[in-house]
Amino acid sequence: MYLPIAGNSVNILIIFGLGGFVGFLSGIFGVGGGFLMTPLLIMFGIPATVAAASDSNQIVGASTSGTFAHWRLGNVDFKMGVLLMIGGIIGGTIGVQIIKILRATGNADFLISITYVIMLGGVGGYMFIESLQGLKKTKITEDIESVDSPSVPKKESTYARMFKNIPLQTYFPKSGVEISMLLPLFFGTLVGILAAIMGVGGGFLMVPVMVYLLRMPMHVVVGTSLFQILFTCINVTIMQAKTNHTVDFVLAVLLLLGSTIGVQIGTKVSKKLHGDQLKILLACLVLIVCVKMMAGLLMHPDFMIAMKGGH
Amino acid sequence: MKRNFKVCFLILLGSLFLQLNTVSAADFHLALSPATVEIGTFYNGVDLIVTGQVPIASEIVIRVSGEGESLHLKKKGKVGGLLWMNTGDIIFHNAPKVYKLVTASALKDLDNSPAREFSFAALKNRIEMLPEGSDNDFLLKEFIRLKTKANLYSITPDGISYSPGEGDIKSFQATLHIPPSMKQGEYSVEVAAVQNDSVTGTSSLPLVLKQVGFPEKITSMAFGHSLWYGIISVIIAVLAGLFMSLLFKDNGGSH
Repeated sequence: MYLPIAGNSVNILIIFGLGGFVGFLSGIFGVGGGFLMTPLLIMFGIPATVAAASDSNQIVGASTSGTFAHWRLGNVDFKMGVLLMIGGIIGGTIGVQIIKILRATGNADFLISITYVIMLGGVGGYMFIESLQGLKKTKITEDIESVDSPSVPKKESTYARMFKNIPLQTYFPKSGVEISMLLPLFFGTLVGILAAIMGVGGGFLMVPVMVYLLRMPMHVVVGTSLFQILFTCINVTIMQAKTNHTVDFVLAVLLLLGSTIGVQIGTKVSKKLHGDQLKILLACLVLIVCVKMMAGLLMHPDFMIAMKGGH
Repeated sequence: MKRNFKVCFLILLGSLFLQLNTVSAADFHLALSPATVEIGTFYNGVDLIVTGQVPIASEIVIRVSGEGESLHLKKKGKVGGLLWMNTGDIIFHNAPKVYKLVTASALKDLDNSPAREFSFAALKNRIEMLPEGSDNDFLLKEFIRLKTKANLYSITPDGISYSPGEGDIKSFQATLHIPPSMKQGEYSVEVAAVQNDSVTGTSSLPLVLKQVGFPEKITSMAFGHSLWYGIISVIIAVLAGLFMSLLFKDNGGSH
């Protein structure tokens, strides 16, 4: 099928399959999947700028489907999502300014690549180890409970005590946490800055932030992340269409057909998995992307020049 | 007066020389099939057939080229002796969008033939690279490799077949694949005839690629009403997402 904006033709089944695969990951982990989809589309001959913009449009569909499915399961914390989104918009605006300054200093690309790899490696590694310990602990707890041992009350961490002193404490019933409203705003801004610098949607950064820093339950995190991604991608799609004319509607629809189905299947799979199992799978995904980035930096490139644009 | 006469004479001589070397399409009986390529919904490239007639002792080369464009690319290099990353920008001015060559068997070594002006090597005189640098020759080769990978530059040696014509004329035919990555626009199909170590004539015809039907409507909306195009794209994506959610629910898939 011919893609009029990308200026190339594609095999419908391949694009449908790609959409399905990335949608499946979105449904399980609550990530947009742009970091995976854009390079795949480039591989199939789609210009980088068109791939990134059309993928945003596709994510609108997938995240609508995913948010709706998670909402039905009671897994979307709208209050938290809105605060994170406001922070994300502020962060995105700041991030764009930072990248301008970095580009003026001439070493932006080096800093971006290094930040990307360190962030991915750090987040992925921490999640992997932590969830592995979590899985072991669950097993031990189950063993202890089976011999009717009295449960030991959890000791409050320094982190939790410190954050309790921040003003504007609010209860988030869906997530079951009581924290300051300033926290999601602050972390949303931080992720927004990093996402703008690295040129990605930031879902795979936002999910660990919600899990580890905001202490939200994993299933609510996925739904809330998708809700937030939905609005970010609506904004990006309209901006890209208006300013750069890079949204290929035909490509987006083909991807959508696959991803909206994929996300539904992913949502069902995520419901069947334990929180730590979900985390360990996401950690593996993040680490794979990190290794791929590292390999790209260490291995001799196929071409000594490259087109500008894309993630 | 005498000087004016000399100038007029030189101009006349020059135009006679040009006429000898640039032959009209009619003289080569050059024909393209199809002359206009329509890009529809299920377009996946097309085979272009170039036919014509040349003197029996001639060998020919065919070039399909697009208009020049300015491309901004990133140079890659090693940083800190370890990491490969973008190390600078390079601009290719007047780089043909498309550059496809088909040569006769006798002109396989195009760089060392009288038609060398058609070869990839000759692009050095056509493309201006900024900033100037000692590695620009290498970067131009990389650029050609990159374009070749995108199917926009290519060379097909021994891609021309001849058949006997009338008298000392022979017919030629070549089939050139027009890839789907060639965008709509006007391209030029040129044929050069080589005889006795010199180009004895050239002839050209325009090749038009144009979007029709659904692709044409999408493109005109994307560029003519970009804001509405963006909003409609979002609405359709949201509706598709909701529809799929309801579909799964109806199928009893929900929890």
